[in-house]
Amino acid sequence: MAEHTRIARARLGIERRIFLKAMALGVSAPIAWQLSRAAVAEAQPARPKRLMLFFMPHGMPPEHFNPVINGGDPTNFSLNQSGVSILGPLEPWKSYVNVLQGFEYPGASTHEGILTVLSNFGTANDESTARTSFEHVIANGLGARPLILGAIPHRQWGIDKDGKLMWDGQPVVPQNNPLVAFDATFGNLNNPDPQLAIKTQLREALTTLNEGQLNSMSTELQSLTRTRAKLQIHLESVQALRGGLSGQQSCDMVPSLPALDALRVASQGQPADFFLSEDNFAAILAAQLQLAAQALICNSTPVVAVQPMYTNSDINFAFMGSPGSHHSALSHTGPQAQGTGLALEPRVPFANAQRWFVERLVEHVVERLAVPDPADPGRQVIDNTIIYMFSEIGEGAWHTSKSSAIQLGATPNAFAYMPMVTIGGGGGALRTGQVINVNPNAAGDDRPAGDVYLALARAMGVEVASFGNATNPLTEILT
Amino acid sequence: MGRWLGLCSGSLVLLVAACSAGGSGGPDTVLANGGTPNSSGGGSSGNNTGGSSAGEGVLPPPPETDPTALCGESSAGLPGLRRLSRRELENTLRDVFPNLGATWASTLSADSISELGFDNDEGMLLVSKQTAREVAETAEGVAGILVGALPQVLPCAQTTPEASCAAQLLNAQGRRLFRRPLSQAERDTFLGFFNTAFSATADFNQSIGWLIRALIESPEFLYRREIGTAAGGVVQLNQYEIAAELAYTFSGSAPSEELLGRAEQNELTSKETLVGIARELLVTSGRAVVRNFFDSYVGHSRVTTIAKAEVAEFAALRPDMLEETRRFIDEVIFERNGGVRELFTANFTTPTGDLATFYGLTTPASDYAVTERPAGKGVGLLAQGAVLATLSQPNGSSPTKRGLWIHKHLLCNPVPMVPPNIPELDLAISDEQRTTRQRYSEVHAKGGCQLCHSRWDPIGFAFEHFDEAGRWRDAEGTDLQLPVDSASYVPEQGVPFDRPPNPDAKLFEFTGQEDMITQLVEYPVVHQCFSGYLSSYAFGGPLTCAAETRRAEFIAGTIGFIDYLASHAGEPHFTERRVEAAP
Repeated sequence: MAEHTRIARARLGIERRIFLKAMALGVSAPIAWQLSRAAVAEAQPARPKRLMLFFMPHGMPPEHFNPVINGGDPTNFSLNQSGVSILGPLEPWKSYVNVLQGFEYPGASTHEGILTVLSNFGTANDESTARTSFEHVIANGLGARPLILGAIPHRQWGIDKDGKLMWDGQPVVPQNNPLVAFDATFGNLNNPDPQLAIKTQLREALTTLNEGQLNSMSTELQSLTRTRAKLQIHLESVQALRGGLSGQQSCDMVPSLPALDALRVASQGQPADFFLSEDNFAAILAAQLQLAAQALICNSTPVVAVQPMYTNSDINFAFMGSPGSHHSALSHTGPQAQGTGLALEPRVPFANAQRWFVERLVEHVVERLAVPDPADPGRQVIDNTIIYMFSEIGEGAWHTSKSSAIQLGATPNAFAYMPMVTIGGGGGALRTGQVINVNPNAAGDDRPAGDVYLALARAMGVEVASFGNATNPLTEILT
Repeated sequence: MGRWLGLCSGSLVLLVAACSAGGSGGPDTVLANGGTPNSSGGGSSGNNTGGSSAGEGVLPPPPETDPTALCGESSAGLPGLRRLSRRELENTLRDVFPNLGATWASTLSADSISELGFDNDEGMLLVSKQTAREVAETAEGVAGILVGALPQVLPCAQTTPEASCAAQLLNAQGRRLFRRPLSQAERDTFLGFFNTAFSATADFNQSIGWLIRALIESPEFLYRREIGTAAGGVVQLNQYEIAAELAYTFSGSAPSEELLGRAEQNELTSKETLVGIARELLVTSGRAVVRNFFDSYVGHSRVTTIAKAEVAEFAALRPDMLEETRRFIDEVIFERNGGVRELFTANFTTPTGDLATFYGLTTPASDYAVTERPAGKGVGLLAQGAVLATLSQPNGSSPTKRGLWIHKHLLCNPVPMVPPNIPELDLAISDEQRTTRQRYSEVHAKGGCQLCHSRWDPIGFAFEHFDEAGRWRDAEGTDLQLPVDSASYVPEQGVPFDRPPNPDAKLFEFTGQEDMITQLVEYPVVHQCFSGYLSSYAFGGPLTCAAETRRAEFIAGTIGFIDYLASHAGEPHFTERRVEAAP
């Protein structure tokens, strides 16, 4: 586990506190421990919790993104009254939404922020420092294996720093083929393995065998600094094979997902790079979003993530009506002043492209999660889910990494914040329906984005001490 | 190394402040390493910072490299383990287990690519949690296929399904996978695991499957050993380690039985023998290795995954474009024994009939046959449709991308990070009043943009006669009312990033791509830069000055690509290593 995070599962923490109190009262240790566990079981709501990350590359045009707050009341806001209204598709779901403003990312000034944004840790352009991004911190804390998907998330011949958004010590490469991910997630639902116990036993024996070989090599090669470090990483990785399996599936039928089924047909007989082809971007993303939603509904895993594109990607968005490279043509279109504000027209194509992402998220995920929760009768899955939507920079053309005034004349024309939005009730842990701005008008200091991650981890039941320089959870979003 | 490129090209992406001093001018100007055009230069440079002590599971940062650095003689790097890349792992399993079939692929995710763009950098290839899981999944999948074909994989499974048969697997396929015979202790360990599996399953075939999984997950398979034995202040690699190095470097896969046999006979000793084997491997089974180098160095293989919405024929022609460029490279490298000059200035290409029509070239005698280009309409690798389409916007050419490629990959200059607060860019293609060049010139000549773009956009203007799909054009606009202007210059070099290059201090002027590249390849730094990239790829990491023995000949153009690449097998790094200093 990366040094910069110290994780204790909230449950264990509470148990420990009750245990210590009981011990202080003179109760014997075994009984105190039983008491603590019973107390926690009684105190903890049984609601399931799920987390989904959704990346939107290349920032936003704030004139089309920022919510409109009515009468100074941050709980009274509109998502569909700002130009193209990138967040407009979420207006019907507003009671589930938090828009967060006034946070900054560390160690980056432009797109290279993708390396540090989710861990709130690291310096610009630094690919070599080990780190763990918060979705993996949460998954690890829950003992779960996250489902990490990506629609063309890296360049065709490998993953470079532009694609390294998620980290679990080392970079995590998103699965670009949703068919593979689907089969791994749901493939065995209809075919339970009668030899599972034997396989588990032999898997354990094989892991032990691998550990033994790695330890022997480490001893043999202890004088070689870099080699020893490699073997240590390898050893930790092999040991991780022991845990982190998927959660308890609550679905007993292999689900049918229209976008995924269509992709299965379309990809038959196609070359290996089909799933990295720009022609198929929209279809791949749709399938991945539907798969992510279904994995949450079925409790296949409590943590999923979808990474569309890598930074600096030049995918042509003509397919949705905004011709040109998403990065260098659309996102680089600069703001222009109009009166005291910003002109809307120049960045309509970019805004439409970003809105397209939100539309897809609502269509394939949010609406799908508005179904009865199989693990929590009487509530919907969306009530027990947190969707976290974000980008690696703030202002698309200006490449900001902190709250900034967009000032083209004598006075600021607009304010650009890091795009950070939560959707969903988080199992009752999130207070929603707010615009929370901790640095109004970018006049003071931002808070680190890690404060948001600390709060989201707590909402998911995982207590984390810090993410980089962040140590104060954003309690405003917690119930 | 001179200031021209030395400091500035350390790791290709250095802080602006690290770039200092200048030097520019025409072909008589003293360039990097004291060289002038048509000379190979001299001097020395080495900024290998080495490894620092590592914490638990934390890899020290890799040493920096300078691809253009020239040294008086070659030096060896450090010993270590090198994880197989996905490509190498898949090739190995297909070779060792032919029953997998030629189209079998692993479930491994894409490898991390280095700053130089390669997927085989030893510092980037780690076994992360994800990799460990995917290797286990791959091993399970392979075992499943092979158990289904066990009579062919392991004939004794039908006659003597017992431990002695499992031992035969270790002797044959295990030896190939580990690239050496297994020690008795290893045999005992793996047979012990086989017996454990047999006790649990009571099924010989399944147990063999578990044994195959154990071999594939073993670190002795996943890592190539370049460890050797220290003696006399030098680490000498052993014969099997050298055999593996030869096989993976020059054929991209595991050593053959024949090569392992030569290692067993202690035949891999003289430099002449090693270089001879390397050359033989390259020409017989090394085309994929060379192809992978160019795919990574140029990036043109991406052409099959990009779209050009405004060029109707492009989608259908993309695969042909990729194959055209691969055939072109093969022709230059393998058939004509060419080097840098030939690669970048060859006056032919290898199109299909459809591509020739698309480009406006003479129809070839047959698909992919060598076809001469018309004079003045582009030469060499950088006139290939796949390259030009890749180095373009989706709906327009890109002087920036094309110029930047030369700035980084032929001149080995640094590329700073994109600064914040980029001003408005107005590069919309649907502009009927200005050419692409005019729009780029106007936008990038303003404010802070010019500090960087004035270094590469002027070079990129050389390509303006080629549109975003690689077709020749004389004019732009709906009615072709905007004549293309490809006259420009290569700016002065080595200029710190706090000021733009002086437009009056050009390296040279040119008109069009052919003129530009023909002049540029006369500068030794281009050959130094290319050879630095090639050596980093060949040795799988950022080594400086590891392949100097025949580099001057390569720079001078007296030996070709294949001979230079094969010469790496005769370098000290191929057979020995430095002793790592105690931390």
